[in-house]
Amino acid sequence: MEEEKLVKNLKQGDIEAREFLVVHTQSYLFNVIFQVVRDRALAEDILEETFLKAFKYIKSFKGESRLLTWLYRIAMNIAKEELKKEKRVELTKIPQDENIPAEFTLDEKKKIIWEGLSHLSTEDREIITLIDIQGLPYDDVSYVLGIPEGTVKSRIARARDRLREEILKNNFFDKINGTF
Amino acid sequence: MMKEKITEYIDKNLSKEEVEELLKDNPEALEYYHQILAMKETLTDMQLRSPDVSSKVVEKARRPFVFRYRYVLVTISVALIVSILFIKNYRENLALKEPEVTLKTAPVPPGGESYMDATQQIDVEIKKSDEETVSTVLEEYGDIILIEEGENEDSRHPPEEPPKPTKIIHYSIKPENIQKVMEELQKIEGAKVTFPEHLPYSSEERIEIIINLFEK
Repeated sequence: MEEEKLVKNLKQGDIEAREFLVVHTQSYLFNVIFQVVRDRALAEDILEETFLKAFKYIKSFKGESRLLTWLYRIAMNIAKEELKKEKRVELTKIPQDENIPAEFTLDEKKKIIWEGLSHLSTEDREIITLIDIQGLPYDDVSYVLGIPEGTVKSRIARARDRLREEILKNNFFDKINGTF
Repeated sequence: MMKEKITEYIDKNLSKEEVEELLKDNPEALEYYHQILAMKETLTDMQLRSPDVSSKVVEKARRPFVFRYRYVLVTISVALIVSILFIKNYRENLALKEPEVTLKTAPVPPGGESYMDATQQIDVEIKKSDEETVSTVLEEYGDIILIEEGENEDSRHPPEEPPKPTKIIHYSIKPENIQKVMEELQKIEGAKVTFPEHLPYSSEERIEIIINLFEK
């Protein structure tokens, strides 16, 4: 479905258009949200909230950005608000096992990367998720984050470098076949 | 700079030729390249399967819509009921605009008859010499509202008789005192009390007694 037509139908409250939007964007949004908040249940709640907000405010969408970018920004705003709340609560908590997903527990490499990511800032995790996990090209990321492409390049390089340092501590590269 | 170039190369934003020189004579750069590449390969495989929230979200999005209309329906219903009640009440009030008179059967005075008539006035004739006794009774149970003094032209006296000085007292009492006042007045010798057949009065209105004190 063309984006323009999709937006038009969404503005009319068309149920099929809503379903279409959710089905085609939920995976991308969930992964980004999840890597930012690192809690599956919370990520799912934020994902739902993102779509509900999108449906509610779709009439204010002027088409100045792509629909996905708009959704992404809604999702990130909610996620960052949630993180602020979480931080306030976390201050009184003992650090936990960071809610490691079951899919990663059996894979040592993924487990190390997951743990390494937890030491990165939200912004670093965000850009790594967009480029490395979601596979978005720089221009899309520039569009989504609203930053110049040059900044995307330098930011991803820095984020990867930090992650590399973190996973080095857990001998990630020793566990990979071959030598460097 | 080296790290950025390697990163860009891994992301296919630089050609092989552009980094070939850098990697060829620089084992550190080559190692870095392999490390970032391995890291990226693992990351690429770290996409989680998203829960399907489509039906849940679409249903939730519909609910406020349904609630909104339900709310409108309830509001209209309440407004309708209130309007009906208001109109009904207004009509009843219109019907009640004429003063409601609660009719009660007044007690029958001693020697008197049962009275319920369209007047609230009782005429009493008493001799002038009993004025003092009358005044004592009147002061105890009610209020004197007017005293008329003059020549008697009352139709109750025969026209052939010469006019006599008269005194008429307009007296007001509360309904509950009527029996007592009547009893007291009738005790006076020669007192003549004219009761209407029926005496209507409301419990809130006062009754007027006109006492005609005449010369014997």
